[in-house]
Amino acid sequence: MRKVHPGILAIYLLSFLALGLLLWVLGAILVNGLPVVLHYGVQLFTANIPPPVFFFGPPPEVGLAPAIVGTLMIVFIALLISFPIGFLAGVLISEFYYTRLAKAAEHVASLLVEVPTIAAGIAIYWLIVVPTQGFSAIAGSVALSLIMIPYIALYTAEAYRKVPKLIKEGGLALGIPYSKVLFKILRGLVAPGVITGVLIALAKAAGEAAPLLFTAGWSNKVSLDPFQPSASLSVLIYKFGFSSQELWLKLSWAASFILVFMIILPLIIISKLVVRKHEF
Amino acid sequence: MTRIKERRLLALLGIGGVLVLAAIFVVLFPLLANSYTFLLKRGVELVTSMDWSPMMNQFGGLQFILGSLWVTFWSTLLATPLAVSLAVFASDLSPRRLRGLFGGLVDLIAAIPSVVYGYWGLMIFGPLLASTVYPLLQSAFSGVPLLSTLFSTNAITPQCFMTAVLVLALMITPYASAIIRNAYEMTPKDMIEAVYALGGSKWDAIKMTLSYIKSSILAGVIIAAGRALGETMAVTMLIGNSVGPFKPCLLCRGATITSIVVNEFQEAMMNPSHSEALTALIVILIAMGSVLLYLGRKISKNFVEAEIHA
Repeated sequence: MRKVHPGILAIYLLSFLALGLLLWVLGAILVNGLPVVLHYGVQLFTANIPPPVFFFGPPPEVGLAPAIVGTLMIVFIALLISFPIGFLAGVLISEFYYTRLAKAAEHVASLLVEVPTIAAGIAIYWLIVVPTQGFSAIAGSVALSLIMIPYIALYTAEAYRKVPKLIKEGGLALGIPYSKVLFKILRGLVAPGVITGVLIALAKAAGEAAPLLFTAGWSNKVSLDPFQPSASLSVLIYKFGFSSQELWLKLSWAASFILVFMIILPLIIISKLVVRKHEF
Repeated sequence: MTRIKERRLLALLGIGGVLVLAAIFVVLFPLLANSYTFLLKRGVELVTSMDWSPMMNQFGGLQFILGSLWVTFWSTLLATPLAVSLAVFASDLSPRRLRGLFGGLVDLIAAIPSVVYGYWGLMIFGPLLASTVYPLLQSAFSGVPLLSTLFSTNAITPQCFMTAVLVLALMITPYASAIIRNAYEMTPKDMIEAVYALGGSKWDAIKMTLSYIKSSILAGVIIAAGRALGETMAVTMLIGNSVGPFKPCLLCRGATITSIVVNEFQEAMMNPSHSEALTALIVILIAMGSVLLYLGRKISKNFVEAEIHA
């Protein structure tokens, strides 16, 4: 038998250790979260969050609807804010790379990725929550949009950069205006890259709790008003995770399952499929 | 590329560019505006004293700064071999057909939210370690000088520096690994074939490749350290949240800048000095992160490129 070098053996062992631990996290969410989701079924997605203390028997309804609706709404509004900014900046970074503004924007975008997300939350607390004298879903959205903008900008820039120059120049040679080339002709070529950026940004934002704690606040009831406080899945996992109540701990697992397997995982899988289809 | 004058297009795209620049001010301005008076008046106390008692108007936050550095140091140290191994495994040792699947899996794992890692650590990993590994560590190192202080504590708890460090190391491994992997796969094939041509083994080829991409490994490690420094939810859930003076110990409870802010900001809203002190700590955290990134750019020539792939 061929002898395996101890160094290579160490690489195998450490890799399996890392992978095993990481898969353990995923497995634990599945094993602990899925049964709770199955047990409560549809109720979990439609009912309000049960009150903290129930004196008489079991709670009337057990649901996560305010957190699910809250996460979807906050992230959607954050996308509305961040997409136009990120997309335009991304095109600028790629197509007008020689301008000072483009260079600065690229620099700032890669810097924004490294800013701790809690900093965005505290900044928006001072900027929006204090002047408006209250938590609101939209304050949470603004905080999340700060996290999403750099991803969308950098992925958009990368998507435009990857388009062969010949195609851009071909369009221009035909006398088609530059803006039409960028936004119409190249649409099919850059779409996969831009969509990937959007999906990655959404996946990141959906899981963030730190920027929402002191901006979006909390609500036990479903609220579709962006100017009112709102619960979210990520904040719920944190809040209920420290509880001594069995039911709340279970709800934290269920929220983890919904967040990871029903929101983030599909986003990542779609982003992978989009890229695979359109490689050139 | 030809420079085309399209003022309206440039103006439109310029709006996006300006708003991206504005985004960094949206983060920095409110933080600075609400902490500079505090930093001017009591900044020295904040970074030199370890007496933290908002009720008594004492705001010594050195233990949080040290706690952040302590957690970052250990988690980066532990993540580095894991990340390098994972990168080599993924791009060189794993079965070729599985590589696509493998890359996808790591991406997916990197997208698990911090708060979920925290909950896993709180409910499963921490309690398991506290009942098995931690007592062993404590007794194994009890007589050894230096190391014994690392593992000495009056009471072993699931929530301590060590639990936060281990979970954090796990969380930052995929980031560092992705950067290292990218560099590993970019290594020119000629170099690797040269090793084999000289009679080198697979291990020699791996060693050569790793030394060839040293600078990218360093960049990946520094970027991962930056992530660890700013990591919030998992750390807050696992570190034990003790506001007492910092001790260079791994099995003790502690706090970091991020954990103290998450724990106390809600109540601090009632007390201007308290909320300003916490905001000032966030400013210090951003400054520490900036120093790290600056050092990264100085030390590693591949840093900017690596940042893009992070």
